Amino acid sequence: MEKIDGIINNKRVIVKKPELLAPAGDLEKLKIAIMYGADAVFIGGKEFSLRARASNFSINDIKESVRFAKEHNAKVYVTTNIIAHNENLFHLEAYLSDLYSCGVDAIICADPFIIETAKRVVPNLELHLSTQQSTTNSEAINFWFDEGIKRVVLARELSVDEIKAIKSKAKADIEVFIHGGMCVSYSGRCTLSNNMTDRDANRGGCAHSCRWNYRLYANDDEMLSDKLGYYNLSSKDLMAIPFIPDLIESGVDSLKIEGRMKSIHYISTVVGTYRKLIDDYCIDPDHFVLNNLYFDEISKAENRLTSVGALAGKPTENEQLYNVRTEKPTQEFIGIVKGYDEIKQIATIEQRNYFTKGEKVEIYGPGFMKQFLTISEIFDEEFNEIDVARHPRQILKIKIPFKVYPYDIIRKTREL
Amino acid sequence: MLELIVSPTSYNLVENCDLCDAFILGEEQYSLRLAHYFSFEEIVDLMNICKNRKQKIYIAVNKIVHEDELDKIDKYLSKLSGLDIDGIIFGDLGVYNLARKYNLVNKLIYNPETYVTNYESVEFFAKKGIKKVSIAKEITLDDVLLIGSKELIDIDILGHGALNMFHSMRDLVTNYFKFLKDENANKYHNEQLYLIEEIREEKYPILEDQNGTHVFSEKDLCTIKYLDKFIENHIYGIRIDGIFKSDEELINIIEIYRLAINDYRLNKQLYIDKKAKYLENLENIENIRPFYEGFLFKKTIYKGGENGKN
Ligand code: SF4
Repeated sequence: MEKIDGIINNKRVIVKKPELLAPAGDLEKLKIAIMYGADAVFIGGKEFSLRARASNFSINDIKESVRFAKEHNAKVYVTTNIIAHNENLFHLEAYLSDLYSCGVDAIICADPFIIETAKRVVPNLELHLSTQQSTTNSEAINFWFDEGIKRVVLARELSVDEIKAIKSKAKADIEVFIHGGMCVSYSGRCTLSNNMTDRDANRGGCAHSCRWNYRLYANDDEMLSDKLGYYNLSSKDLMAIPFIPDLIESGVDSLKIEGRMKSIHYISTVVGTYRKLIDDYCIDPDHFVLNNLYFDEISKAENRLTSVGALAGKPTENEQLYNVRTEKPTQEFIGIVKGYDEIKQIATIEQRNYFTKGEKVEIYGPGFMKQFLTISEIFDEEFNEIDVARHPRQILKIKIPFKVYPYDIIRKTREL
Repeated sequence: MLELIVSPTSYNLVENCDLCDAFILGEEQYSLRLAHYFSFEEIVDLMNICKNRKQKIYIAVNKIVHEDELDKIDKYLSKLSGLDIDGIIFGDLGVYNLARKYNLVNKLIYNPETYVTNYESVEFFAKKGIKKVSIAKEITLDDVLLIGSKELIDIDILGHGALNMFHSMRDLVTNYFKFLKDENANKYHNEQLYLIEEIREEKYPILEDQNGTHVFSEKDLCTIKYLDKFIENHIYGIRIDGIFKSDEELINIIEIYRLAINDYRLNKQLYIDKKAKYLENLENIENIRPFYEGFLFKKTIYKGGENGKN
């Protein structure tokens, strides 16, 4: 059994810090995730991936991702996690060879065809088993370990106690979801979308049919959902902050954030918060206090209702998402810093949302750094002064009296 | 010649039906979505009856196994290893690992519902030394036949029955009524309800039981017209699922499939000529659930690939 903690200077510390694994929908998000503290990122290529539709990663982008990640000591995993049909059984070998030569650290797969092909074609490429296989016990994990799987992403149906028990018996490394959208069904076992829209959920087509509005009837046609007007199957998003200490103590190997479709505002905030939480806990677990800071910070990026999923045990009505319109607005993301001129105290930024002079903003960066400011002057690239930043992705100059860095993010402070 | 496998609706039905080649029997704590659950004693009794009639018995141990259930499954497999059963249906690969201990691997039938959708995957499980693989019902007839024609291992598929299309561990009916603060929140546990989506008309049965919540298709998949193709492409068996059926409805359905297979055996042309008749007979069964061709001719959209459509 691997050592999880140790005593340094008479103080217990965590020596086995789990990996923080973040999603990245494109190269910019990948860089943000890594800058804000992810130890590894997962991306979907344009083929064989459940998010292929939304993928911006060509082989060249993957190469660049790996280069950037290596430079920052981070890892890159590529999802090849479809459950293939006969028509998808071609061209995999060349694709896997390409991924391998890009230097990716692992692929995340679910179909034995992909696993077998990878073992044959790229025997040195690490294989992770996707959560699509809904693995819920150590014997199943050990089955896959014997098949050459290095790491298993657990099903999202498990409590912290189950995860602990599994971890103590599993031969493969264990990855656990801690944040993001989740299936209400056992993953990989839902074909609502296939049946209702012809879109194959196990090949990247899920139409989120579980979130649609239904009416519920008794067998004698009595309508049971008239009180609310509708019935939903869906789940709140996962948010595992309260369980991070337990997960760290259980010795799991990787903590995973979901959301390859999310914005850089979301990625930077969520990754930054979990980074801080993990570091704070590991350095002094016995005096760690789970204060509101973490919850408050993450809520700035989160507009969907969250819950702890199954981590506390079988989900109740509190973990369900009924289509009551309760989405909270997120704090608005207005720009990202590209550079800073220390002499002139002028930051170059890329605009992401409408803002005006006089706006109160929060600027935050990697390492949980935060500063506040009221925007006094805005210029365009030719240094013409403007009052309103209204063009998406326009490069602007703004006066900032303290030092900021590339990748720092500017968002409006929340009106209370 | 195409094994006719039935997931039965009652003890009585098994006791009295000699028309099929095999039954799937299971206990509630080890299996999922069976039309009827049996006790161990009943299974043993029925086994003896069926053996005398040369019918096979497959035991369903197809639940998704959580860590604290491994012991229970282990003990059950040990118990099953003392019985003269013909197969064990499983959907969780943990069961495979446990079955090794009891030399049961060659009895295993892998049915994970949605995961086996291509012949390479079938080949992977064939190499694991198991007995049979049940392929997914979400693929087209052409794909089913292509997989069968590879003759990698015995294959079975759903022949007639509802498509289960959703399984959550959660009590999604009870949770809903708790959310509504309904005092009788548990009232509908184990009761068959149905859902209708806002802009659709289909009625999807929804059932909450001790394994969570299941949602099914409105109609039953019906494959009576394709039995010749199955046979010619080496599909080994078809399953008739009793879920949402009475004994009588199920018996009637079994009779028609039995007749169709026997007709084919006598004379392929006879079977072909009678296809319309079988369908008519199915339709004439009182109260029969509506049926359709499922995914046999409905190719689902693959979102991946360089040119992924939509
Ligand atoms: S419909 Fe819902 S439960 Fe089903 S695969 Fe899609 S997100 Fe998951």
